[in-house]
Amino acid sequence: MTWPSGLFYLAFCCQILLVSYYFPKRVVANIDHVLTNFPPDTHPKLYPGQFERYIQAKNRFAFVCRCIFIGGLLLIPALMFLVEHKTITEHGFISPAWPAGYGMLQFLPFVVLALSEFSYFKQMRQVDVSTTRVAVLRRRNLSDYIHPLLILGAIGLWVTFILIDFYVNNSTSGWSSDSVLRAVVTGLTNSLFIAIGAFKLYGPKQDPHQSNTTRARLTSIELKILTFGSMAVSLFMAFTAINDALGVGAIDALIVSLYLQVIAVVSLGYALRKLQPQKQDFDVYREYSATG
Amino acid sequence: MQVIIDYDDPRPPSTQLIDQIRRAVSNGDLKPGDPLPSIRQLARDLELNNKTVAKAYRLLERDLLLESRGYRGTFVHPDGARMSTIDSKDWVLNTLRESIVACRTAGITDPEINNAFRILMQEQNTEEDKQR
Repeated sequence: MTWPSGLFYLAFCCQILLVSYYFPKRVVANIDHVLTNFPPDTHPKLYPGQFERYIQAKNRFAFVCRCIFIGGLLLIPALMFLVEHKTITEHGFISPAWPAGYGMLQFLPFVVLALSEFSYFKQMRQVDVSTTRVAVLRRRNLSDYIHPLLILGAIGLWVTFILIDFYVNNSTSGWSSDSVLRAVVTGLTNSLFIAIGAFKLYGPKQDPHQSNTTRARLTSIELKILTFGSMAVSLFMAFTAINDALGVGAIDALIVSLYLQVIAVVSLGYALRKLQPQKQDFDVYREYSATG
Repeated sequence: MQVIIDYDDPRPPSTQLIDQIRRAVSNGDLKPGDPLPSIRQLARDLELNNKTVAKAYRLLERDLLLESRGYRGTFVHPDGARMSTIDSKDWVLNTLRESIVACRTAGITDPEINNAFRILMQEQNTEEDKQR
């Protein structure tokens, strides 16, 4: 086993443990905390559907994550075996598609969980009988939620990555070069982040019972996650560009695995740290709350 | 500073909004030059039609409580605090009261006053439609 392969297996083990064991465990613990401490008897507004459905959803999430975790553990010896017999190597190295493909599978349950929020809040709005609507008489500005230096940092990193990419790869082959492709891909990714950020900042309130203070706090956290994500994408692409220029294909898979872990830490890790249920205001989900 | 719109309130939402902004300017919760949320933002937050919020803003601009600065948005008028004490409803009532007293003194009957008022309102509406 070569040293890049050894490092990759180590990083891949961390990736499996972090994304499919540690973070799901914390998410499930948070859901359990909410289900136990804020039951439908005292907080009926929190459960627009049947209580059992939320328990089932939590169990389903935990089960899928566990399956992916076991699949990952089985993938390591399989990779070792196949690499040993040189059946899956790319120019003699492990292809980065393995950690990338498995990483996408790992993030899938979290994406589904995040998207299911929309239908959950829609249901919440449908059963909401309150006749009052509250708004803050203040313009929402981006700088109120995130430090402008952080935004400038993300933009600066993106521009720096493009300059580095074009410089180290001497992109003279016009629009078809890898550097242009990377610039376009990161541009589109950042556009998506901007669209999501704009929706969070200026879009309609999803949770009808959420207080304006909580909304402001959540928006700030979500915008920071998007900015960190954009920075991570730029850094990863810069590494890829340098790697391309130097032709060090041996560490491609390692870089992808580390990149996915960074993405997991800045998104899931940050959100879990900031959105602990103990710090949330659940009183707004009581039957008769001050905010209606 | 929060605004609360109650759908069960017999007053229309635009009136509730106007009253609360007027009170906020009068109390000093909103100071001259303070920016207000955009029409779209406030309409979304209060789940109202954009036109309802636009109407409230327009009427407050007319009363010199707010001022629109083009693409930069809507702000509290520099004279907002002073103007918030002037009640346009009171002014309208006083003006009409004086006119009605003058008409009655001249021997004009109530149906004639009502009819004249209706004709004048129709004329104004037709003129406004033409201008649009």
